Amino acid sequence: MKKTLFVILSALPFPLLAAPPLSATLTYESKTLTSDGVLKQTRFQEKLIRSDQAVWTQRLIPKGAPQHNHAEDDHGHKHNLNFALDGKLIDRDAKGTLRLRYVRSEDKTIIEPRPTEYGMMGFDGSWEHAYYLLDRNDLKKMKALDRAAPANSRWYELRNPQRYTLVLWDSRLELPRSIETGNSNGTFSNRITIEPGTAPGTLPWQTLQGYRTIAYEDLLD
Amino acid sequence: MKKTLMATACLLALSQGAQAAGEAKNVIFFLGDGMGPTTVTAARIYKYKEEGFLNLEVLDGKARTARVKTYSNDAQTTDSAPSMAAYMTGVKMNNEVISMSPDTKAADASGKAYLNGKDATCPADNGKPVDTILEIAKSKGKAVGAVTTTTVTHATPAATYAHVCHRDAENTIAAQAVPGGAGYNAKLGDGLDVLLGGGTRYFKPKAAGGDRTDGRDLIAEMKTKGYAFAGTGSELNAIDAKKTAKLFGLFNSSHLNYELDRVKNKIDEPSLKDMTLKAIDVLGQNKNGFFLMVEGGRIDHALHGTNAKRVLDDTIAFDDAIKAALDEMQKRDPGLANTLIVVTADHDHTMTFNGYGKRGSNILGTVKNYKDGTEMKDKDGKNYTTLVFGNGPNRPATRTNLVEGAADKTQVLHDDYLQETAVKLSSETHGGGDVKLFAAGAGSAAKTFKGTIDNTKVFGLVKSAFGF
Ligand SMILES: [Zn+2]
Repeated sequence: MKKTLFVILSALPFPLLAAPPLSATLTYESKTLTSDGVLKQTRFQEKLIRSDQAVWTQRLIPKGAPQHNHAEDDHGHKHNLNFALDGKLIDRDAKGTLRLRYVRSEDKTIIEPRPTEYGMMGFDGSWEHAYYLLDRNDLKKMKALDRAAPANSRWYELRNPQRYTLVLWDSRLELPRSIETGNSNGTFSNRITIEPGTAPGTLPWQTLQGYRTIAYEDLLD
Repeated sequence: MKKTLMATACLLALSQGAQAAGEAKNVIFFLGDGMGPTTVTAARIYKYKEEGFLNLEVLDGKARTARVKTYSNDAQTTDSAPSMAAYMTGVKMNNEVISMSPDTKAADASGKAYLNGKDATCPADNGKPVDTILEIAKSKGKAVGAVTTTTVTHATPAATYAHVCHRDAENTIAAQAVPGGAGYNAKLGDGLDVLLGGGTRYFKPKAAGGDRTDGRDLIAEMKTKGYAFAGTGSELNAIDAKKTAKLFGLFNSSHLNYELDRVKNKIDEPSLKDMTLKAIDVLGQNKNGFFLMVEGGRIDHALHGTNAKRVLDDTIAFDDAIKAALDEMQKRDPGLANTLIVVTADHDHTMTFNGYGKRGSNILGTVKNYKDGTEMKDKDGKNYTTLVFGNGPNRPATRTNLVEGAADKTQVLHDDYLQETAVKLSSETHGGGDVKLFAAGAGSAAKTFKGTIDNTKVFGLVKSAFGF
């Protein structure tokens, strides 16, 4: 009896106990020191909203950012292939099949690539990566540090002579709070800082009535 | 006296025409969408190394070449609609327009396209259809067909058999191919003899998951009109094309997959070569000869995506289809005495080729100093790839060192690596540069393709090779 239950449970693609929807602000920062002595820094933010069935990410545009250009930059024909400003929605059905879509609110369009195009769009098809922002198995290969950490969180490190990776993992939220990689000589680093918040009452993917779905290839000519 | 004069005039016409006229019973027109000169060179190195040649460059060993100007009636840089239409009709028209007179507008005065979804809303007084070489061939009793890796209703194949003021009206274009139905293009007589590619969505009604708003099932209608239909690669393979008079195949709801994905994921779609050979088997039954258009249509799509690997794989698939067609035609018409083969592109892209890499380097890799094989570096000390694009979406805020590996998509040899671009645009654009044209066969006909010519001139040369 117990065994049967176990089999049934493990056959389910995701746990029965649904984690509540979660929202977070992701801050991406990178630093590069060039050979001619110039320090280049970049910073941008994304909103992450996730539930057991869907992960939504959307670039946050700071006040005062220049308007993005709507002028036709091709030959008057289609089309905007820049997905950086679109909501990126990865969801999974009851069978665990993942689907990637881009939600473009300015013209109420949902752009749906076909699965063979996911790679080109930068989606590796991993729910683990989309939902947890990393592969939790990788944490097991890292060294747990005794360094001071916020409640329910712990630092993990992986280091070789050339590179390092540092992760602050919050086991209660099942969410990293910081992921940093860089090279040991300090000329390059990349950091994502994750600040959890409250999920909105209405989730972004519940507000897509009236949107029209087009294929990614409809943007090609 | 009068008679003598006339005879002399006839002789004159004959001697001028003898350069090409009437030597081509068959014409196969190969079009690599967006396959500009850099793509040709890169694909050559990718498959045959620096010292080799693509089949499309060699053809029968006596290939003639020309450079083609591709500008459209209203644009310095064309899209695929007017450029292919120029080849097919000899008329320069506006961007987006499919085989219509130069006064045809794709959009109204306010700039709104004459489109409702995938249906055309072209006003009746908005230009006139102009005859295509395919229609003319059909009217002379030849068999005609179009084969592509895009939807069969996409701009390039559409320009061979349809007329519409906006290329995106793919529902309208589909109806033009269905003999006897509403919206049929009567210039096609008893209909195209071969139509192979993708795009079931424009042939099926909404209720059946398609895009058609008129409720018609055009695939069923085509079957009623006597077309053998194939929906997969294996179904096409099972058809005995030498005994099939009319062949229709749609192998994807939209475009076919990129060659790389088709092979990697073992997708049951035919290769461009498979489709080309089936088309020749069907069309070759006509004693009067045939006109066949074959498009490598997704070279352009991979270029817009700045994904050079898929560009090169689709270009090689296109080149392999040309090789297969050449071999097959040599069997049917030794020495290609009566068969003209033309290979060209409709426009360029912004892909370019950085120097000074070492001979033998992977064309998809980073530039290696030709003197000592070390990585070439930019001013910030970062290495860079040989192939890059003038514009497109992938312009990193900070360039980082690139790894010539395939472990993940940040590594330059990975299938999904996107080449870097100089100007940041949301979508990589076509380029305005000239494209190459290669021609062979049909006695002296191929020799008429030379120099720098306008794309509209190609129509005249093909027409005259046919002797029309
Ligand atoms: Zn294009």
